[in-house]
Amino acid sequence: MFQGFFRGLNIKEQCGYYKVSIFACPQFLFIVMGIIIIAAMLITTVLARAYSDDPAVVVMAVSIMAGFLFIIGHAFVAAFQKLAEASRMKSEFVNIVSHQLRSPLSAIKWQLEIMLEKMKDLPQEFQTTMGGLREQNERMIVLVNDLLEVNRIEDDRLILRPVMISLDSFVEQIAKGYEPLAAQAEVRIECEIEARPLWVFADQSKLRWVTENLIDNALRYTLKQGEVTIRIIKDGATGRIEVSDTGVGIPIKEQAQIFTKFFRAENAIRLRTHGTGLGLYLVKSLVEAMSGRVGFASLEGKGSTFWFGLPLIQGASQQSAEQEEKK
Amino acid sequence: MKTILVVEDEVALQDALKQSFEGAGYTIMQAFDGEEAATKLTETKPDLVLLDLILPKKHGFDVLKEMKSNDTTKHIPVLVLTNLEESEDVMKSIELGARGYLIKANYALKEVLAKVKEVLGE
Repeated sequence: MFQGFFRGLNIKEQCGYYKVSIFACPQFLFIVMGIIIIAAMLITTVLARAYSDDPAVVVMAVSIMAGFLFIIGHAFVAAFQKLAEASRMKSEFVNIVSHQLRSPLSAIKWQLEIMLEKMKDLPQEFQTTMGGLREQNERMIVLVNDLLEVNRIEDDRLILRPVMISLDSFVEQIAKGYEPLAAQAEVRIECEIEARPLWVFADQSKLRWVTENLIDNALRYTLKQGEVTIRIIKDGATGRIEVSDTGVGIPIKEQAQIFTKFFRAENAIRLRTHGTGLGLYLVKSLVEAMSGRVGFASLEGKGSTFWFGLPLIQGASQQSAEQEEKK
Repeated sequence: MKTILVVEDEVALQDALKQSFEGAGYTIMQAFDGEEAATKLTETKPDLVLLDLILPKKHGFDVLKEMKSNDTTKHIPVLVLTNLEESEDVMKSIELGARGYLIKANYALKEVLAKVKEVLGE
């Protein structure tokens, strides 16, 4: 029995269970409330004694104050407990659903791959249908992946493995990979490198994800004959990647919400009904997790520029520049 | 001809892997749970193991741990092939001696095949 009681007082363990920040953790708030009640009782004692010499009045005032605060405190902590429990169940739910969804999704993915491999001689229309199925399946996989990532970020379970990366070459290579896709969409894609080398610490897969997401978006919302430009620049102590497009832009009244989870601009929905509204939320969360910043500028009907910047490793650029010169 | 032991409880995934790998000239052995995997491992000594983590009867980590502590099987390379993606799982797999960690939903069969070839040095 006492074990359970003491475990209840172990804030770290209890708050870990709910996976919420300490200030929203019921156990922590419970102890804070206790401290507030004790402080209030002491202050009430001092005040009551200043105004009355009758011990009965002092005791009465302190008791009423303590009882009053206890009731409020209890309601307060109970409400937070409910919230924390709901948040924990939501994360667990998303986690289980996503993992359970992945199994059939990967089975469909692989079976379709085999079928497409075998169907090379079949009529074009079958192949188109199968290709369509595959595309839908991939969309679902992306959605599940994004939901899992959001869940990890919200539960503070995101673990980054930062390595030293030359931002310019890394992004340049990704941009090159988009050339066939851009040609297909009849959009011109260009990569302008204004400074190099730009050494940063970043998690390779997350950095790739962020860059690809911004270029994907630029291509998705740019009409035929449009242009997407990726600019790699040095801005003080920051290595900055800008992705500009001549796309549909973001209406001014919706700009404030653009990085909000599940938000999609009205004109974006009109142009492309697909999309979860998780992409930019994840871009912002991931870049900030790597000590970077994101931002954008946009004019409806003219286009948008999204950028992110990561702190440069001090001295690294100079050193490697000198090495380059020596060569 | 090299032999690959596929440890996977989902029949559809087993079938897909079998077709794809046999098409590429490998011999495939199948195990549908952790215990079957342990038996087949000691009986037939495959050249490589594709190992799922969530398995009936015995968890993939236990299969891997036992395999790596057995002198006759510890040299066999293992690729973990799963849909779990938590960092703890990835780290534990590598710690236990897995040569790679592939997420099924994110890998095409072709890519799994390429990874296997790479590990087998082909």
